[in-house]
Amino acid sequence: MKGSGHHAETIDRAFERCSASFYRYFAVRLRDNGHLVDDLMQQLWLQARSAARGAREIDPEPWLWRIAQNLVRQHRRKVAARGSNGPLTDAVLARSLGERLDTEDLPDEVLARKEVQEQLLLALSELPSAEQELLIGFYFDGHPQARLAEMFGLTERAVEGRLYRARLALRDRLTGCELNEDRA
Amino acid sequence: MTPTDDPRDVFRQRNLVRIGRALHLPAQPSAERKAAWIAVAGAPRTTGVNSAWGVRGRLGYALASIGLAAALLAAIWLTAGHTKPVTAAVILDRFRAALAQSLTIELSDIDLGSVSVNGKIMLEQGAAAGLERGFAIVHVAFKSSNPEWCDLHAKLVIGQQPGAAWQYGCGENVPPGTTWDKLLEDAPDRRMPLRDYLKRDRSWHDFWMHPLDGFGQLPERLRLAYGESSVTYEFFPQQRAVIEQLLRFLLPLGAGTTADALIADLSGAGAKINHEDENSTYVLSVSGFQRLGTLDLAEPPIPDASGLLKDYVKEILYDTSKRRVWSTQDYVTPALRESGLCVNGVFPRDMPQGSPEDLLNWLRERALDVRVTETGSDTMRIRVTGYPFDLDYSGIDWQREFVRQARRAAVLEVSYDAKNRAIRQAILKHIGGDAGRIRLTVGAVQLDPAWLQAEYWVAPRE
Repeated sequence: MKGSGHHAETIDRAFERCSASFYRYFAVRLRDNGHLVDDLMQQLWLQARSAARGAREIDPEPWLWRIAQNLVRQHRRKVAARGSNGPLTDAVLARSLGERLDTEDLPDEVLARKEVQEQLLLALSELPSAEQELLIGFYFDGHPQARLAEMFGLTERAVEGRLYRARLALRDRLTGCELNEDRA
Repeated sequence: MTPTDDPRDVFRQRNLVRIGRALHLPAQPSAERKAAWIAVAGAPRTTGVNSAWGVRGRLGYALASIGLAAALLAAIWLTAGHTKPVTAAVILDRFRAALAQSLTIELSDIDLGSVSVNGKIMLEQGAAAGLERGFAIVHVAFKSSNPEWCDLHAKLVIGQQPGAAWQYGCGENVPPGTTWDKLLEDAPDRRMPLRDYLKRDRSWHDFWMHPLDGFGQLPERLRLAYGESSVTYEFFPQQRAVIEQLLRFLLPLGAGTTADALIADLSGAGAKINHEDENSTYVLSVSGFQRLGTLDLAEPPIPDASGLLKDYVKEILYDTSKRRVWSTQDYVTPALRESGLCVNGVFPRDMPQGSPEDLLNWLRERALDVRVTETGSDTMRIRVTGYPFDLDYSGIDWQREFVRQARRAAVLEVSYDAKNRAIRQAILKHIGGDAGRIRLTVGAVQLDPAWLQAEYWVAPRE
């Protein structure tokens, strides 16, 4: 299937649509090292365009995520000798945070801890692009649901439902075993 | 389940609001950077494998991919319009080579709290043996906030060359009727042998491998005499060492760390290259050192004193006939010394001295261990371990604040002459205050041979 996968425009559209999420995914794991993130974004696009193995998938986003995870793995192997790896998943802490997310009000002093913030960012930044953008638009950027509906071409009711599922997805990322790219 | 009938979602929503306030997401890149992701290597063609275009395209693309990892970094800093790109890697590589040549290091207006420091260090590296020479002159001006020492000025000079090494110090702008005495320790005639390299059997090679060792170190104390009275100013350890620490901060640029790691760090620290067209000079500018891992301007940790005090030993010699403490001697372990903590020791005047029993009881109430180690006809030696002396953290606090400010505000600029492929200078700015800087110039130093003669300084010429 090499070289005969997605039409280039399909990949380009998916890359364009998800680039903010991919960028965030790399930036969180490379400690916001702008140059390296640029480097990996370029490699992601090049690999996607040159080896479209996900040809049978209608939406290439999951396939792009796998490339992104592999790029992070490769980078971590390269820099491991220098001991300069970025933040890694702490399964115990992440699980605890996921459980507390549902059952109590997380105190500000907990949220101010660097290791807590790292786990939250790791989980958030590997959600599917649409869920990331909704959560960030609503909770980080403070956009009302009506504005988000306009931005994403949805009804307000749909935004509400998707926000709910995005919150669940974040909780599941924290409590589940989906954070596997760091264990490579 | 929906948001309305999921009771846990109430917590989830409230927590997400808090998380949104607490977390800082990575800033999204500019449109130009986004465009560069897909523009650097050019969009690869997706043609059939049998077409001629396909072969060429795939070959070209493969080559582009192979070189991409190395080229991407350079491309960020590629300067258009020149036949060869000037990158941080090129500049750092040249800088590394330059640090093996002759250097002049100038210190300007570095504020060390109670004093400010200016100076010049000249290190001459010759091709032939015997030409290597080093010279440093450091001026320490005592600020007006320093009550007994305001506006005084100490000049410290170090000269080194094979077979001769000395240090010299004198005061300038001293009030009439005052003199400098023993400006540096062990300096009865204000001229003294160097205590570091040559006395410790180090070779001249060591000097060049570590050219800044000892240079920039302030003395332990300065003493100013007024007739028969005098006043002594003691530099605390961190104050003495900080100039050397700053100089050492520049060294990893010249040796040790690989260019790749450095560049990766520098890009994270906001490195950029500006081009000054008229003379083909490129300036690599680096700031944001608090985010750097490769360049070490480390903030000293606050030591845990609890494990250190037990190793602090005080020996007291008590005169049993005159019923008074004759002398005391402190023994500080290397760990305590290296911690940078100062001990506010207990003085004999604080101790009850009416009888040995009074003294021993008083000590036993306070120390971990008190032993009489020697008893003579009229003396008694007492060894006290783990006395809870007050520890002085002020030096460490000062150094932490100094380093914090430097890491936040410092800017390193390395100027590269592309035409001659040579480093012009490097400047570390905004250290110890806005005006503080260290400038490092590469190339032949203007070192007057007379400066290396101690007599020149002992009897200064008008």
